Amino acid sequence: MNYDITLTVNGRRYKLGVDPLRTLVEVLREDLGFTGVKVGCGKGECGACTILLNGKPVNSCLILAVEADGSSILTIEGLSKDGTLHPLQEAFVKYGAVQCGYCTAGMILSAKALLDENPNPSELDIREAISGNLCRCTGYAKIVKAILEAARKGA
Amino acid sequence: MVEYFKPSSVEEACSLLDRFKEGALILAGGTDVVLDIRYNGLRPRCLISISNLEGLKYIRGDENGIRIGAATTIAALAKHPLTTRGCFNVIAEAARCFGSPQIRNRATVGGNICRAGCSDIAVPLLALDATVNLVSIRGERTVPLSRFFAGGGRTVRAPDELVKEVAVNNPPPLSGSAYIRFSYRRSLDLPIIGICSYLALDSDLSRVVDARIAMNAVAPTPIRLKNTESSLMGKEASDHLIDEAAKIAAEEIQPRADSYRASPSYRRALAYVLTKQCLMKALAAAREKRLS
Repeated sequence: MNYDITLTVNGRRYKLGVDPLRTLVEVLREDLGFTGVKVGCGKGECGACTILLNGKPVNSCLILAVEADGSSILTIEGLSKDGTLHPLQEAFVKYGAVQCGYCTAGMILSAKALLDENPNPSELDIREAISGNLCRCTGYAKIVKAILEAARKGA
Repeated sequence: MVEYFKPSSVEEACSLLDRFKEGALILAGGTDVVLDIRYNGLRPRCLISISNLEGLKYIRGDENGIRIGAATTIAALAKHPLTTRGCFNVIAEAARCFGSPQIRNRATVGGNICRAGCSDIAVPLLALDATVNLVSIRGERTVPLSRFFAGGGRTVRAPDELVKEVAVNNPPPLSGSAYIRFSYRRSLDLPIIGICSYLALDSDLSRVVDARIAMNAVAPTPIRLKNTESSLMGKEASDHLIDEAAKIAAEEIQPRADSYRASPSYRRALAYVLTKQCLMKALAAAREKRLS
């Protein structure tokens, strides 16, 4: 049996029917086409599937889609406005904070949640905020720099 | 086919539990349960979601102590004024070490203790002698958290019962607590050992009048170290006393032999060191109170 849910993703409302055992990441990717949300480990240990659920970073692989009924979701696709990159995205490009790119969407969303709550974070605040996002390429230094720069620019 | 329910009150949740009993799976943050569904073939008859049940999301203080609703997130515990104050601060400290920011935003205190595994939040709660309040259509009951666990992955919760809240009484004035979590990584890792200690002193700040020590990852569920505790009771607090207590702690734990994270001998060595450090910290915290 499918359950009817309503999700607001990147400002747009979607009504759909979902099997109660399907996860949010599956529904976002397969039913709604938000493939910027990545599946890494699929077990809540890597953060690649991070989205903002009502403004807070969560692992979309650990949430049943039916549980997100009525909520507001931000994915990486919702960050740029009219073709202009978000300052965090600009800073990631500028500092080369992206290598394979698999962690990037989740990393940027965790950073966004931090800056929304704390516009002037310390380096330690940043490291804590992205501690649920694993990156196996960069060693984090450039990611931290990029987030610091975005904060300075008032992202 | 799995049915999904989202009750809007504790009463409604209890009626559903009464109807489905063993067939029901209570879904709070889901950070563990969703994995069981995805990877371990868990197929309940129905899911009862309490993740949005506002009546179970609260941290309240009164003259007796604090009460935490079962669906309160770990993230809320990490920063609430009541859980970051005095002896209760060990709750916030454990919450800040828990999983990752993403997991802390979903995982709940009720869910974490009901899993009865390597619960991080149970460690400070056990050391603070927390109680668990359970409700069902039959009524309510309160059990000490130290008697809530019934073995690895099992609790004394009956199939029709819902954990409603966890409560902790205010400790006496001359008391202190400390928490240490030892893990290889600081995020997204299980502890090798998590420990919380609580000490209450007499008015001279010399004799131990109450002692509680809790650990996780050293037995199938989080445990109180009763032998270690009794070795401290009524004694003059000293480096020697704490060192002797730490030796008992290393003996008292029952670490798994088949763990790939740490061998039993390593965990015992660590239990000695951490018990010593943790008791020293709690003692210093208790003595500091007299000064402040």
